[in-house]
Amino acid sequence: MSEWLDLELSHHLARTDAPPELWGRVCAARTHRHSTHFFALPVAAVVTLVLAGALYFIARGAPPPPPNRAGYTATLHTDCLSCHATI
Amino acid sequence: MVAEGTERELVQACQRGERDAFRALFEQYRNKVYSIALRFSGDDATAMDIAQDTFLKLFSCIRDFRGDSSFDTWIYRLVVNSCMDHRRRAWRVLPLADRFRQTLRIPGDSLTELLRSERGGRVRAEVERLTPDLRMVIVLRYTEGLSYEQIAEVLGCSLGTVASRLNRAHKRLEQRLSRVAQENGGFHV
Repeated sequence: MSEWLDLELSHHLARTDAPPELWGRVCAARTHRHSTHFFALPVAAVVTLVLAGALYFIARGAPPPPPNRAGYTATLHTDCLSCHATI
Repeated sequence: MVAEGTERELVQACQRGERDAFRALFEQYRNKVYSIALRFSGDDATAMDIAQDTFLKLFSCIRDFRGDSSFDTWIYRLVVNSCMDHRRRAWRVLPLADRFRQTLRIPGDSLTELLRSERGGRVRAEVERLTPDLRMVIVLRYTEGLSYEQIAEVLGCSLGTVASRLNRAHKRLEQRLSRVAQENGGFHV
């Protein structure tokens, strides 16, 4: 690498001072973040309750399962026997 | 530079949540963090955002610092991650604006010539045109004066990778800046 490039980069990319308002911005952002977290938990709790309530009422109003489950199994069983019987 | 023992005490005070310690730590590292952010992004407002993100992460994660690496290395990693995160977010949100800004930075353009007539501006503009990986090693090397070993530790890559990236960055910068220097007779070639 050329010496002139090394000098140019060292000179023009040197460390610089941070603006004084940076601390104020960091503090403001921390406060905002804390207040956001403060509200996030109650909001999440309310949303969960509403969803749980909605699910409860949907389940209560749902139609009962079909009654012919036993017959369906028996039909299958019969089919199996008929297939195996032919082998 | 604060002695290592004092720095350790400061970090421990921050881990206990002492507000004055946070302020002291901020004062100690603010120029370092801001400089990396500014040299990487090339923009004051973006550098402020990156520095702010870095300190927010620092204050919220300082309890996770166990002293496996030096505190400096830990902070450098936070800044590097914030720079890369910010770039990814900006690219996702405003790809066209970012490209437009990159286009504006290409030397030879008359507007850019006016905006960046001074030599330092030209050097920094060329650094900003490098890919993020190459740019970051240049910033860590020249803004912070880190050794190859320190850069490798911060970036979590091998010494060979650092050497290769620096070599590629130097070649590109040398090529672009020497051409500009020949045009303007500005640099020492």
